[in-house]
Amino acid sequence: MIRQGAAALGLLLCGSGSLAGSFVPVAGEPVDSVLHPAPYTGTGGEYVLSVCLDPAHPPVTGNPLPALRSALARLNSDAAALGNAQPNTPTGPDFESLLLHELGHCIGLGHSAIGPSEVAQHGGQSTQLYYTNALPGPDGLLTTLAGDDGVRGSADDFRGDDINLHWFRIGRNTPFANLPAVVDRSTYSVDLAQLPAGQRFAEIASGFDPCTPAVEANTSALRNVARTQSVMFPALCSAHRIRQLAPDDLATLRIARAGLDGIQGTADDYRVVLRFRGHTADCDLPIRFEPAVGFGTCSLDVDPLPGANLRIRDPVIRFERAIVWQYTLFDNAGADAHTDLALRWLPAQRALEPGEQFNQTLELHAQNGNLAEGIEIQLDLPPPLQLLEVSGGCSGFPCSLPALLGGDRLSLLLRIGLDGAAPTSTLQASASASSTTPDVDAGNNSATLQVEVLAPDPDRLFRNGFE
Amino acid sequence: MAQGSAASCAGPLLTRYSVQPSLLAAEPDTALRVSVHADGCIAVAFPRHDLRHGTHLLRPDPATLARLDGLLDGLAHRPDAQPKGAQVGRRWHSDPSLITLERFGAGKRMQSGTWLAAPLWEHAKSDPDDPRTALQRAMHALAEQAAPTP
Repeated sequence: MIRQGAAALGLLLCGSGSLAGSFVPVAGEPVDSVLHPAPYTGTGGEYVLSVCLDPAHPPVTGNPLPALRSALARLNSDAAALGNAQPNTPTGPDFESLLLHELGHCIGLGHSAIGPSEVAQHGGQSTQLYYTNALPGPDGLLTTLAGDDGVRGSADDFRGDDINLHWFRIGRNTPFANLPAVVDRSTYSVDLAQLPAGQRFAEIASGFDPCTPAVEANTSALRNVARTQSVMFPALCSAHRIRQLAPDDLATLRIARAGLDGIQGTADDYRVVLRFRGHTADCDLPIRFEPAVGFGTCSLDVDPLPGANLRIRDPVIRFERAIVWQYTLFDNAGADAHTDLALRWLPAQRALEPGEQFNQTLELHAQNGNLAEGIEIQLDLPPPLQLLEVSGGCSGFPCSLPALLGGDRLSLLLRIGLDGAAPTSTLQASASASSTTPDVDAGNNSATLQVEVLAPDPDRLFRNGFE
Repeated sequence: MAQGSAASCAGPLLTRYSVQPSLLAAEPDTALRVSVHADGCIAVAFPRHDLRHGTHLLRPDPATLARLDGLLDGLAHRPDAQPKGAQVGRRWHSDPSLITLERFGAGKRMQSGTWLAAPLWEHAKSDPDDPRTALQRAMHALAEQAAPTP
């Protein structure tokens, strides 16, 4: 990490030659620079970042407070989910999705992909949209070829001499896996030399095709996981709302939390808690609704910190005043808390032979209510079935989850094997979910998976797909 | 200065100006469009998510039109003054809108292009003479005249 001249500090990226991580890019700084939220000074500990709604600049219609409370709860929860791109029937742009995106910028996160603003800054073309975010290399141009899979933002993209901005897990480069216990500079990198052998570029989490079917930027489909898109992906689509962090979003926040030395578990580690202060202009991060904003934006300055570190100063979020927003209706702060958790297996039945393995989705849906907290999922998998692996928010069972908002779904992906000596029979695997929040209907909190064990048949191929 | 809500202007199109939020670029009907016609009619089309959704017409007085023409010609003479990003001094702004300008018509100096919108609320302090920002401000004022923010 070579730190460049301090004279460039505060001059933020607008052209090629500027270096940054997948944090908000800062001109003249190393590509692996980390941008920390406003309260952090380099001393470890817990900081509060107060957020407020400026009463002098309200929206024309509606109440943004429930969405704000939910978005703050998201960022404070340390939870990330696969399947965070939820189907939406829009009445307007989803305010909470945009708010979460702008809050992400204002605590340091940059775009996961090349968006229209990056294309314009680097003199690119619209055909280069939604590839993994990068800077032009020595040739001065962005290079974007989708590779053999044809999907933008995936690990086989050919990017020429482009300079990667997206932090990936060293040796893994998968945006859909559970985060490891240690998330810092020792386990994540922007250096493409630390990709797994045979891979070309950092892969991002996207699920974009419903917005513009002609653009193939859906790595979720490519990897066969529930539709998952980084909150910091530079596009919002009316067909989906994104109100939960994807694993990559959380990983980036945790890299920052490792502090100035970038090593988790040392004295300079920190945590920033975002707290709503009220309808006032006196807070660390005010939110205003004004004319001529266009849509939504975060404005900020940057101060230097030692090493490849920077700190945000004077952040402000602005939204266009005259938009017909789709607002979150429930206050998720705990008042009148209730939920209706529903659990199901997808599919609910299987037929397989001894020795086979299969991928099985277990979906938890908060069908109703506001914030379900203190969720626990239990799994009863009778032998000869064996749980081989689980991802999507749990690493084993029983699994504790911090929170799920009303209307949201969480998809766990289980890899299950059947013992090679299993006799022909019908097995039942069951799962159940509970929450510390009152559940209005406990009748749908459990689900049963039926597994028919077949006699071995060498002619019966691909019954459960290409697994 | 007359104004009203109607379908379109009759005269030939001279200038088309649009403001596209970058995060909504993949969605249809999400840009604000201002069309200036040769007969002095201006059509302002608000996007579907705006409270003022639809096309609103206005006929500014000759002085306003002349001022607008001067701003457009000024852009043609100062292409190097165009900002290249969302940067305003030392401040960074996420997710800027994309502004596209197209000019048509014989005898007009052609000046078309796309650039990132400067935030008007802060840019006035740091670079009030920037011709692109001046054009943004003028177009925003026309849109407000066609249909004021509630």
